[in-house]
Amino acid sequence: MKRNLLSTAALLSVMLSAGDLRAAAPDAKALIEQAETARKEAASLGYEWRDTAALIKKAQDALAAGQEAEASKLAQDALLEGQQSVAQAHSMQKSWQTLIPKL
Amino acid sequence: MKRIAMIAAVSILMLPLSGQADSREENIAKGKKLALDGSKGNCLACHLIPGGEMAGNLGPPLLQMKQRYPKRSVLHSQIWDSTAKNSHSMMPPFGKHGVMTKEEVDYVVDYMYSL
Amino acid sequence: MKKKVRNRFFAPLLVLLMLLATVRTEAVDYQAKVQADIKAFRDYFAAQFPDVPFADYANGVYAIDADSRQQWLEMEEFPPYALSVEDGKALFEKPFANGKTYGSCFPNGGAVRHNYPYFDEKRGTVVTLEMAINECRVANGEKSLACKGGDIAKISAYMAFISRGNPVDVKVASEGAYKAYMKGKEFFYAKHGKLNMSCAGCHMEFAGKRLRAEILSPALGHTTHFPVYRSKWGEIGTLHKRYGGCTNDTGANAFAPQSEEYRNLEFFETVMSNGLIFNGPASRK
Repeated sequence: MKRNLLSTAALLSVMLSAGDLRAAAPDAKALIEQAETARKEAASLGYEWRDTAALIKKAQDALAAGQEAEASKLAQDALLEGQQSVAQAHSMQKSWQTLIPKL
Repeated sequence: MKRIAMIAAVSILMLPLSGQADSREENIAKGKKLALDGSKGNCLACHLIPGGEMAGNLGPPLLQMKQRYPKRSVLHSQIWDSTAKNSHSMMPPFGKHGVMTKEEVDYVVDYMYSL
Repeated sequence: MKKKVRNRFFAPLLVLLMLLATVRTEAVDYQAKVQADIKAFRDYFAAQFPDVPFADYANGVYAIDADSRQQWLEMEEFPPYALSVEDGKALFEKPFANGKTYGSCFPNGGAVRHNYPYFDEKRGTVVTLEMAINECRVANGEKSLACKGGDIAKISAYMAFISRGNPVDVKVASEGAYKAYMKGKEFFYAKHGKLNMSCAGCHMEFAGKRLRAEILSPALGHTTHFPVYRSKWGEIGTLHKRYGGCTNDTGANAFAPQSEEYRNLEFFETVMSNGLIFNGPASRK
């Protein structure tokens, strides 16, 4: 009986802290590389965003300082910026003419 | 023993719910802070908000939001990515472009519904 | 005999005529396309501000807002850019180390502002006034000047001042020029940056409206009055400095002053202002 209750409590506490586990899982180094690739592509298309490079640098610094979770979060933010700026570039190249205001 | 275990389990599961009802005021306050933050919503740049100063007039005034956006999901989408409905929209896609998280947009919607 | 001769010359003659036809239509097409754009641009603003005379657009926001116009007219009695023009004159007349002056590059005592920007066919690129100033320096053994403010803005202010009254008349007469024009046009209408904003969004659709407390200027006439003494800067600055600031504000990564992107944008914007009169330098908030 006691063992069952203990294992249930253990399972519950693990589930409740699962959030933290998931955040540390994505490899910060890989994310930083992906973010930099996306940033470079956006830059080559002329659509780099203002803060992407700074975010990547912050992520690199955090990783170097051993702050894995922080590095991962910053890298995710940078990756989002990189991906969205590339998407923006492709979308604009295709349809900027439709945005010309009409009378 | 079994009954105590059951009560314990149910109380633990109830914990998140018990917080919600009395934090609605908190949500609105969080939303207001985000809306007026120049690096987040920055809503005053383009919209009149009751009580806000030096408001821009590029977008419609943010009044009677419950009447104008009866469906919460529609207002959420508008803030998340206004270009989904109108490709010409000048309103930044706050969610899609990562200016605000889903949770932050939720708080802003809570604030909007208080106006 | 006659029939044979005619047949022999017929095919080459036909080819020649076709070639001439294509060359002629190609030369007309670019100018006509650009002219159609200019007309649509002007019509857009005429519809938005029916009481503003065309020539007035050279004064930007002061053309469309009575209060700021009043403040500006009062400032014009002792314009904040006057000192920059004086400094610019001194810099223009000061000889380089090799004894030559800017006068050796720029005729008319430097009153040539209205000849810029232009598309340089040989080099296949847009040449702006600031770019030409720096090329004059380098050709005479001097270092290039930074292109946001300081000396180059002062020299540009002087040259703009003595060129006042000349019409904006930028030609787009070749495929190369048209390509540069179209790049500038895309930049102007496309959305940029984290905030997903376009030049056209604020300066066409929202021209005359307020972003926070600031009135958005109309794009028509945007480049006639630079460089500007901007109160916010506390000094005179170039058009590309302003471009950079705006790009930044949309959450996009600013391009360098005199980058190809900004030169193409300046090219497009100035073409759109063809027919207005150059009236730089100016003062702004």
